[in-house]
Amino acid sequence: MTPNSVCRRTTCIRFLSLSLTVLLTFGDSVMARSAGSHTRVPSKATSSAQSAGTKQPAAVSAMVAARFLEQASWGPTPAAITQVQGAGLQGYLDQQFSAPMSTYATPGPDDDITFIQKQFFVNALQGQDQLRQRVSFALSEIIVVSATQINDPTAFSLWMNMLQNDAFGSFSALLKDATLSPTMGFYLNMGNNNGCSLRCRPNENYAREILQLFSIGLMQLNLDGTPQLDGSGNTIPTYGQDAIRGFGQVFTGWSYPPTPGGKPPHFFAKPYYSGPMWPYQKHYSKSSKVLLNGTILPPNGDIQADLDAALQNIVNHPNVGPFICAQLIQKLVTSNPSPDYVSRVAQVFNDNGSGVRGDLKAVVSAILLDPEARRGDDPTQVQSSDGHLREPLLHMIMSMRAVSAITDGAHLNVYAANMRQEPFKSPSVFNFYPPNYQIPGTTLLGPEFDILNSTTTIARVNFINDLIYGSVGPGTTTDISPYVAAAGDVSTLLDLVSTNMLHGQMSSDMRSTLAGTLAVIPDNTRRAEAALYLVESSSQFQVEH
Amino acid sequence: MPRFSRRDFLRTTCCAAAAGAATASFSRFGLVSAFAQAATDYKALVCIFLFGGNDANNMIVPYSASDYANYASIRANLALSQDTLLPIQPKSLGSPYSFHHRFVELQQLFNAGHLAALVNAGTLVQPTTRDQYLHAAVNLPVNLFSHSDQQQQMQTATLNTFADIGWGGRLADKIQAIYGGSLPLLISLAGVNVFAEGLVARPIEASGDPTLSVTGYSGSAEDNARLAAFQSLLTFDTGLSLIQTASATTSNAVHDAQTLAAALATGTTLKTKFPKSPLGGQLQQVARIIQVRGALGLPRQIFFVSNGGFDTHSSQMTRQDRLLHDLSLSMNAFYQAIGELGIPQQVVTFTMSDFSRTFLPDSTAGSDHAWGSHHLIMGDAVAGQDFYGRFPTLALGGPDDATQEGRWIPTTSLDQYGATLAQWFGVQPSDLPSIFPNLPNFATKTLGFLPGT
Repeated sequence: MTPNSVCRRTTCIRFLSLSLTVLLTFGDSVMARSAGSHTRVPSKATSSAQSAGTKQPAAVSAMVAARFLEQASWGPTPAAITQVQGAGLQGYLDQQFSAPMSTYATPGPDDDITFIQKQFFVNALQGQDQLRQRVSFALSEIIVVSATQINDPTAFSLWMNMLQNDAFGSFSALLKDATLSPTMGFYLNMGNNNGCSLRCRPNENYAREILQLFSIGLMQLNLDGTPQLDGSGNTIPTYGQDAIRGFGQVFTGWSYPPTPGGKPPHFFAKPYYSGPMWPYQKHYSKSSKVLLNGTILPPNGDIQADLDAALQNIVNHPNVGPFICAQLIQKLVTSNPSPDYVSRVAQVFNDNGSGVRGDLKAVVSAILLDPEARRGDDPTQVQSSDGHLREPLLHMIMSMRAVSAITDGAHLNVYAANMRQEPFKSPSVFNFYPPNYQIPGTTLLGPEFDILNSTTTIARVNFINDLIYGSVGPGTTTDISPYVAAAGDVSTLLDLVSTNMLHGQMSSDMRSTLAGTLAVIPDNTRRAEAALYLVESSSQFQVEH
Repeated sequence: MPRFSRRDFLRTTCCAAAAGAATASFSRFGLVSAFAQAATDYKALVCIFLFGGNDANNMIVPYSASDYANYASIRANLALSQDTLLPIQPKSLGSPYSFHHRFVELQQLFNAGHLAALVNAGTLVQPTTRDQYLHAAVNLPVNLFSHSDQQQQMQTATLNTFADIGWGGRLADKIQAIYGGSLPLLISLAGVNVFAEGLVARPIEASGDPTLSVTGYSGSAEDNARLAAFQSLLTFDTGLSLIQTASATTSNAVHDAQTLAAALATGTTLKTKFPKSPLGGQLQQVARIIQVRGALGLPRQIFFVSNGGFDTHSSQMTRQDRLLHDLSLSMNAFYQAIGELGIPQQVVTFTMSDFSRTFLPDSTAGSDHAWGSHHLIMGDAVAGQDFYGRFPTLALGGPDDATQEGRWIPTTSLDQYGATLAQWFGVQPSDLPSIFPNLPNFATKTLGFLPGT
């Protein structure tokens, strides 16, 4: 995050006057904009969202279920919609929290990064643990490692299994696992960072980025994510170069686990990715170490105790809740959450109700069940700044799930690369796009727009062309027969498309345009294809709202 | 509703026109020919951004025996061996310097007077000494040593806050006001970058083929109906700002790709071979677009290209070796191509980077984030074979060090660098502060490396 980005968020969300009255204005039912006869949204669906934790699932309309799945999964399917309708929103989350985890298999000696990329697509498209897939992917975009510098696919298999495992655990455990992961150790140079004290000095890479990107950001935040200001109206830095130096010293003395069958454990080990990094006290910096908020670790500390203390120093910083939660909200729900929304979720981060800090399961529930996440279930409550552009991978996979695609994952990475989001190949630790990218000429944040340019926007449309009219890879099949079966009647076809792709909220002008176009395409297959292409390539589909 | 600026209004207008034009046909259309004219005073600026923070300490190295010995003793395992260095003699300096051994082509360009270096320049609010820095006695750029902030600041020349307008964009705004023209005069071939964003000026931003077009339309009646629907959907006001933005991006992309493709079709194949690297490919695209400047009808153009990977916290020697090799080959190819086009006086290429890196190595054979850096300026309008600015004293904790690790405090500001380029490009001296807001804080406004201005 850069200074004032949150300032600007404040400016833009001044316009979002969310309050409890919004909830109360949900009438008995409301008509969706699409003019479709079935777009009745029962108010009970939203009330179930508010009574998080109650056991009694209220009736959920297909549209509310579909919209919820756009945020909580890699895209609605008829089966998933039925599942959400049966379980209710909280019930669906509970099911997902305990759903068996899709794992990343161990690559063979001849495999390269495409092995992991394929598994990413397979898991996201077909995994039964959809929420875990979505959340762990979001975390992978906050705590970033990249195959641009790590060639070994095993590093990513282990990394992703770690993220998936920790996705519903505690933030504290996640940060420690990430810190001691050899994958991260290699990527940001904590591995073999030598605390010798003469001419060489500790590498500062991990120290700087764990603070700037993985935990607290550059400036002191309020609980609601807005920046604190000093008496002159300036933002207040969270740390200076002294803390970077201090954490750089803390992150010394760790090396890669010993390679089986290789040399005995030693510092300066070659990268080996299985298991956490190993501590070597002899290579740990002996100096005192400046941490955050005036904390100083005394000289000659124990390498493991100091690491734990330093990580707790970070985790307990009041910025972590708003800093991490705001980004998770942006990934799952909206680019421009109100301060109140951030504040509500950050409170849950600070205390899950049982006195536990950093409970990610509680955070994810709070994000997805928040009134601001749910207000769009009633189309009359949508605000102009709502939603977020689906990042390329999300756009691809949602489009594929809507046409029942089955894939081996091959070749999809090429499409993603053309859209500037090749899996596991973020150009830097700053992810594919920053959380604070501002739409030029507006006060709105739109992180994913940072990689929507004149090439990628066309590449996205052309992917849909290949998906619907051609092939996106030899190992991918689609099934559009339900749409073809409905295509005899244009209105029926549009209802089905609207439900599956636009949570039943296709705008009336879009609907009438499509109706006119589809009417001149007599063949049912061609008609269904045209409907799918036009909706999946549209901005109304690409922007989740 | 969120506040929309004047720019947004202008851009919306532009997009609507673009969508309207696109509705006519997806085939090549004749709009560009209306602008076609021989632009006799054509000028182009080409920014090469080195993402990650290029270690300038190993790009330009002191070469005298004593200076090299000092360099080598502190740089230790990051010291380049002197017998590999490529000597250069800046005209206005007594001491010899040298380039990294991978700068074979750039050494030739330097010696031939087509290349200059600006040394120890960077983000500065006002002239700053070590003492002033340590006591916070002057205003400083916010979040020094942070990639995202320093990239942003180098591209915006706005050092105290987040900005969504770049100095390239502000320059384009000024130039557009002078020269008119209805096509974007800013083209980034490195995707979205704030450098290219203006208040009025809308850039073309591509991350691959800038003429990529929508596929799957055969011209049949059904396809034409579908195409009309596709275009129509882009014009709907859904009431959601992000949808409008996405639609505008797509509409503009369709329009710009057609315009560029039509113009490029009038060009011929360049004889100059470019390296098959991302940077070489981008510069080749720039050369091709400059070749058809007549068809585009733009008297001024600004380009942005980039390469990444310069964040060499570890294994710096091998990584930077490869990066600088590519930079030398790519810049040289571009210089040769512009010569082939016959306008070497009219195109100036310059480098920028997040920051330079600590002079003192770290324990993983790399270096960490620092501040003032050296930059390259290339073209026949450049008073080459010389250094501009003042070379830093290479001493840890010395007069130019912000810390104890060799983070050089810039002695020349980004604003002076940019102002020199902008004035050559056609901006009046009195207008420079509106592009470079901290320029008034410096006694010398421009640096003399473009003497024709």
